[in-house]
Amino acid sequence: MYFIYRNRYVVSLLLGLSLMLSSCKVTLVSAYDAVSEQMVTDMQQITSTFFVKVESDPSSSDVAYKNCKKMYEDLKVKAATLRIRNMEIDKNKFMSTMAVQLESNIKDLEALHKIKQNGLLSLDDVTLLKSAFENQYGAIFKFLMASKARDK
Amino acid sequence: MAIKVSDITGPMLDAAKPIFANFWNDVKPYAEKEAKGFAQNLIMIEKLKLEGKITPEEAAIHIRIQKNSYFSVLTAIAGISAITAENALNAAIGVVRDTVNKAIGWPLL
Repeated sequence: MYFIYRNRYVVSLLLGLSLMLSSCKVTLVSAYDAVSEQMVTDMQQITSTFFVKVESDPSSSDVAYKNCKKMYEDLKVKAATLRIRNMEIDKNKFMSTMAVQLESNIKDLEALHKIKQNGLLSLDDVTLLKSAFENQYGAIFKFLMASKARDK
Repeated sequence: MAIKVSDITGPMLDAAKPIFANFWNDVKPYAEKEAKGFAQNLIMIEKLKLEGKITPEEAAIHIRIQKNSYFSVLTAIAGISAITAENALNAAIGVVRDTVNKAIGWPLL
């Protein structure tokens, strides 16, 4: 009787161990999130379109701060949504940190535009801003591509 | 005294190197390119401020934006390094799994 019980115990232990180890996969970074990629792509397109408009005609009233408030509202809502979404995903500190940094830069972009004397960014401003935002969006895309490739 | 790109990039890369330790060779080209861009932009901000083309307040915002952008680059590099480490660990576990299963004769792992 004791022998049967002992064998059942060993078999259960082996089965449990097998089950545990077969699912043993190290996860340091959360899974790729397609929704986040789409949101970052949308934000990048809005920002790039704005910079192209300023470069084409820096003195146009279309790119004066008072006429860009809607764009900033849209960008800020998207940035907040990206941050909130990513904060709630497990093992996602890299993406949530980048979302916080992006939101901060969107706010600073608006702050800079707002304090410009005539409400217009100069071409020098745009050179600096374009470089910063392109690098920032590029970094986020690089990370998202790496997690996408890992999950394939 | 005018700042040079190398005055900024050298110490930046020296500081980053030990943090990314084993992954440094993989991330070095990207880190170098981004550090150089960051340094060039800081120099441009300094120049515009000296020439009176931007106010000190505007310069401060520009610097904050550049710093934040560069932090995102470093965060992405750290994240990609973590994914690389994760892939390496899972590959190692995969090898152990194959070896153990073969030795036992049935799929234990």
